[in-house]
Amino acid sequence: MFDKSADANGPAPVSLVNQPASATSAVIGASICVKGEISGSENLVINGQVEGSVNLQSNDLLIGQTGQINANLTASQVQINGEVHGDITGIEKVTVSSEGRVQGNIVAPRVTLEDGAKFKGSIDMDPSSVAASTPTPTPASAADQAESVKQALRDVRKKSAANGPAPSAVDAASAARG
Amino acid sequence: MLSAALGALRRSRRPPPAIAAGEIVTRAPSMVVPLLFRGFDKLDGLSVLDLGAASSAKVAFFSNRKCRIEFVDLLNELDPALLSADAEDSDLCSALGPLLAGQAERTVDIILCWDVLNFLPLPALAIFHDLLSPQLQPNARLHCFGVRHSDTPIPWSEHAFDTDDCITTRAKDGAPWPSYAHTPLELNKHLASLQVARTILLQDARLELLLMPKTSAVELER
Repeated sequence: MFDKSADANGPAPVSLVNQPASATSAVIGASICVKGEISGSENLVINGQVEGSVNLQSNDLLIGQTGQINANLTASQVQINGEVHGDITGIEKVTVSSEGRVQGNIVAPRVTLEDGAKFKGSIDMDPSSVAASTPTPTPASAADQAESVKQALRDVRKKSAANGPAPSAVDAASAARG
Repeated sequence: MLSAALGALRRSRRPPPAIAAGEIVTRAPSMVVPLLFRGFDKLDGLSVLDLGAASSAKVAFFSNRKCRIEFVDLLNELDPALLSADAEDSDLCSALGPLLAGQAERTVDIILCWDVLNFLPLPALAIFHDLLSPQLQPNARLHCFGVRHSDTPIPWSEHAFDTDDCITTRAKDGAPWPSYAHTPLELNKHLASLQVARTILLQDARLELLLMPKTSAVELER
């Protein structure tokens, strides 16, 4: 379905959104809404709405310009021309085109973000390291850290109210560190 | 002769033409970028936190290094009202915390701050540090821009690595935030666990800075 010979940094992949579905690719039309798990062994073009998950381990997935996805996606090559909220795993490659909007995490050995694409999240281009990674010391969550800084602010303010002028955030932050 | 000279002088004083958002303002060499990747045991799989917007140039740059890069567009996500003098520090903590939380069990090798720190007042800088420092690897690097003098103007721009030793600056869209340009001395003081390891003076009188943990064992080449 996609041009597999194209390099990650080479020309943009050909958009198949407006092309008729071939015998080897299924199409979810623009007016179709699917809730649930989609899996299969053929290429898939999604121009409608999907909520749930899409798993095409050895086939390609194209999200058309009208596609609205609220799901985790897995496919060999993934091209996003529409809107995706969810994590995307590309066994070979993920491309977010200039019209694409993605909020989620991308895992793929090759990732291309075209000029104009909107992306919010993380990109992991070393998928092997994810599986083989050794556990690292867990830092306190930022929420916990924020709470600790806030608690320090309260403590320092209490002390200052009793002893003198109001503290600065820097004093409180130092107290949080201490 | 004199009128021609005066005309040329007047022309030279005209304000520069407005630059549309996204247009390249400068493409300048960087002596700091190569140092970002020195001294790590393994280059593949480095964890990078970019506090700017995601862009094609950034992804292309890091795709050669098999990094894990997380984008948190702080100047887009954060409410600038939280940085005003009368805002509560605890509100800023609550807003910054989830933004900097990242993935569970994440540790960070490289933080790209670009100009973000120059839009945070000093108290916010300390809070930023306290939220982020527990996530830093022992030999982490923080790349940012600073100034020699606090009155240096900070442009409202977006940056990206162009090549291994070049940074591209583009005009950023949206209304500019109030800036609080920071000197290396201020950064050393308020990013308490870090210290400025390398300073390069740029053409526009600003500084390109590389900070590392005070406890880092890595010696950067001179």
